[in-house]
Amino acid sequence: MTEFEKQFQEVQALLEFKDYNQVIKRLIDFTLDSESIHYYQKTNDFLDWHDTNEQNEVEKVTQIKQLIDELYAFLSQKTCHEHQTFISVQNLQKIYNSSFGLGPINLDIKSGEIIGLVGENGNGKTTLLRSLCGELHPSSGTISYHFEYEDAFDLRTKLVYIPQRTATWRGSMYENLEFTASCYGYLPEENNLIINLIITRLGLRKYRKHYWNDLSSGYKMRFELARMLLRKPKILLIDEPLANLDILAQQTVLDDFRTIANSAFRPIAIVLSSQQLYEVEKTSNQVVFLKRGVQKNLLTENESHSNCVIEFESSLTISELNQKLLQLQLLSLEQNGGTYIATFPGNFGINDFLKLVITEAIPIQYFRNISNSTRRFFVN
Amino acid sequence: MFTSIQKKLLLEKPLLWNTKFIPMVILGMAFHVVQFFLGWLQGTIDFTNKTKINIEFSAISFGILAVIIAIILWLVAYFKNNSFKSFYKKSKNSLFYEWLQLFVVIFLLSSFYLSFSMGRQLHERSYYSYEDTQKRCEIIANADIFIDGFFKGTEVDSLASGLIDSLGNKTAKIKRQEIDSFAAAIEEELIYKDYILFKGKKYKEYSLLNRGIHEFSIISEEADSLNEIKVKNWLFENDVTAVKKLMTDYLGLINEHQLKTNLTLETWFEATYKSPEFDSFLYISPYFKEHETYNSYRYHQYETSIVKPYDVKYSKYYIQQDILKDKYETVSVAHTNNLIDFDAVIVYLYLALSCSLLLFSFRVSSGKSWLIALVSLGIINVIIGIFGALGSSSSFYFGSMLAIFIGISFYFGKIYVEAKRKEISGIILNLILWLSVYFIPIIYNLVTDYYKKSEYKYGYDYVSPEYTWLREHFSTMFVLNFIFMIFVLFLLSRIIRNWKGIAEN
Repeated sequence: MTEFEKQFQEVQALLEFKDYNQVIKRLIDFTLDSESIHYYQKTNDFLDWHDTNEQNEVEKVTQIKQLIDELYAFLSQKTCHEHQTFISVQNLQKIYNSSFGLGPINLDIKSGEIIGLVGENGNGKTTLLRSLCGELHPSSGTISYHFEYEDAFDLRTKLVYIPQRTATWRGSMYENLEFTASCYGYLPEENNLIINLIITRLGLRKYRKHYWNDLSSGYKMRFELARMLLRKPKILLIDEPLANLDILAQQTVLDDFRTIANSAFRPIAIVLSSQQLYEVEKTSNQVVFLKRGVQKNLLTENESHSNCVIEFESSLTISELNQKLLQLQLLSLEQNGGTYIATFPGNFGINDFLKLVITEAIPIQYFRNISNSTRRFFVN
Repeated sequence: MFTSIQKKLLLEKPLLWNTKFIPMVILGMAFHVVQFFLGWLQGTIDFTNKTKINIEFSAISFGILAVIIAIILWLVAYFKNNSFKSFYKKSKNSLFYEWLQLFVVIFLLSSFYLSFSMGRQLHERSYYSYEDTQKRCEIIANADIFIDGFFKGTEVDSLASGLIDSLGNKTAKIKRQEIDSFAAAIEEELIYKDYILFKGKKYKEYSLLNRGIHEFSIISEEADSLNEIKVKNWLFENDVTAVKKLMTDYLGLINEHQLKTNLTLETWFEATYKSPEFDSFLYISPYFKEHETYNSYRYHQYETSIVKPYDVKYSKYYIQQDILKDKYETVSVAHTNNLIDFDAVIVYLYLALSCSLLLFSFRVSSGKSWLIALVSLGIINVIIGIFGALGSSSSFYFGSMLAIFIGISFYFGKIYVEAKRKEISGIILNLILWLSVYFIPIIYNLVTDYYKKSEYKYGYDYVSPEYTWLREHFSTMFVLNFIFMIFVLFLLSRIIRNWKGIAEN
């Protein structure tokens, strides 16, 4: 089964569960995958109809099914894109001054992947992103780009970087997007169609006529993302994209990243930095933890620290907890803010922990196995 | 219309849309059309001099104000998007086209006076054809002898001035005059004859035969001389018919333009035609009201009236010759001047070039680099200017600027070739862009200065042929420099595109 067929089945399932919002997003993805003005137009016609007939479920389902079937027939003929390594980073070091240096960093970034950069403030996440996009020259080590580019400028057009504080857009949002699309060679007849698809995909349909100052930070970030997607990047580097989003919006954006990166026909690599550890870990293929500029790879660290680490919240005191958990070969128990971090030997599992909680009637509000999470690095 | 054009451009030609080239070119051309019509209005000639239209100052002020407003609005719209700074895909020549568009827009906006001047000149020309104007000017010029033509100088009396002895040999004084660089002192001691010779006949210094005719630009110097001799020949040969025809033609012009005179052919002829000596004529006042035109009142210091009392020059007769001359001079100049002033075009080209480079450099670098470069250039100029002034040497200034230009070019070249970090090359790039316009003019000035100095080696009068050649080709140098700059910008814009790809730090 090809990647596209898997995605098609997912959409069928979403349709069955009447998750129309997700279905429409995926429908737009398939339409963009088609790279055909015919389908751009058809999906846009449907979206225009949908604006005023959202409640007409029967007709909506019929139209969606019809469109998806047509797109399936068309896309089945296309060859899926094989994932390849876009960027290799070897021993990258960037030394600003004696007080801070990034690296050495070793990393391979592949198409279709999301790489999460996590770490506390001032630990080099932005420096690494800026180095990857060519804005900073490494003090030592190399960054190799495994795709074709003519010169330094051409390379940087393919490495799209969205800083945490995006520059103000002048003029209307829509006009800016039209300009971007036009610069990137979209045909005049497909320009507006493709923009409409992308802004609908990113939930900006209602805001297309707005101006920069009329938008919240979250929507500004989405517009920036829409603009970047029009640039057909090889790699998208985003600094703290979740910083200004509420929890629901964070999950939506990360889901969007997931599907955008993992397109069967137009895969890109996304590198994003964030402090939202849990959300990033859920979405990312690789997580790079940076501590004082030094890279900590989860896999490597796990090999040397194969303990079971559980984070939980409880109303008991640390001494009460210690007394109860000692029955289970507890190696250490730390208090970190309002949460406790309990470390057990590697052969210990989360089920063993839960059994004890039930047996001892330990009141817990929250728990998480962080043995395979970079969360460990934050608390250690 | 603008909106639909812009929308089409936005979808098809994003660079043209971004620079707002089409609307600005249309606006620039509209400015030119308006200024052309204002110039046309300014070129209205009232030959009776009853109404005067002078809107030049207002037209220029209005033009400057309109251009400033247009430029501000244009820049606000232009600066909304910068695809280069955002690392959007760009062709290798895209930056060059962008500069070219800026240049064309600024040139169109700033050169409106060319159209004003052209409109004025075309209207002035439109009154009479070239041949007709020439014919009419010839009548006015020739008749000047019978109105208020100026008296020419007479020959030096060499014997009385002590330049030759009674045998006709040159004295030491004349030899001294030939070699002495301060011959002006000797000039003052010279004595002039009080008569002239025409075809071997003596006439008094203040006779009609020693009067000159008025010169119009439409009549060549050679033709002027021939016309003057022709009229004097009529006097010499007593050709009354020819003189009367000239006077009739002249009075015809006066009547045609409804100008004032109390002369008739008979009274005029009677008052001025005093054959055979032509020295006891009456002076005809060349104006009806003094200072009515700039050329109304011209009193020749050594001329005296034969009419008593002696301090009154003019007789009771007048004719509005001043206005006739003034108006026809305007038409004459309109015909002889070029419709487009070549030197003015060069000035506008360089104005547009400098402004477009200021704008272009701001677009391709950062605002911070641009500002630092501007301040640095100001400081450098002040320092070098002070040292140059202390040493009273323009070569020092130009030499220093050349050295700075070469130095910063090397630095930029090093950064570009190494392709590691930009460092301060953003500031340097601004300076290179601004100074490259002056690269050839600086070299020109240094070479000119070098040859100018050499003239002192051989004495006061010596001007080296190289210096003369260089001065004669001053405008040519600027034209060549302009072409050179287009070539330089073509190359530089491609380099800047690649330079932009270099890491910031």
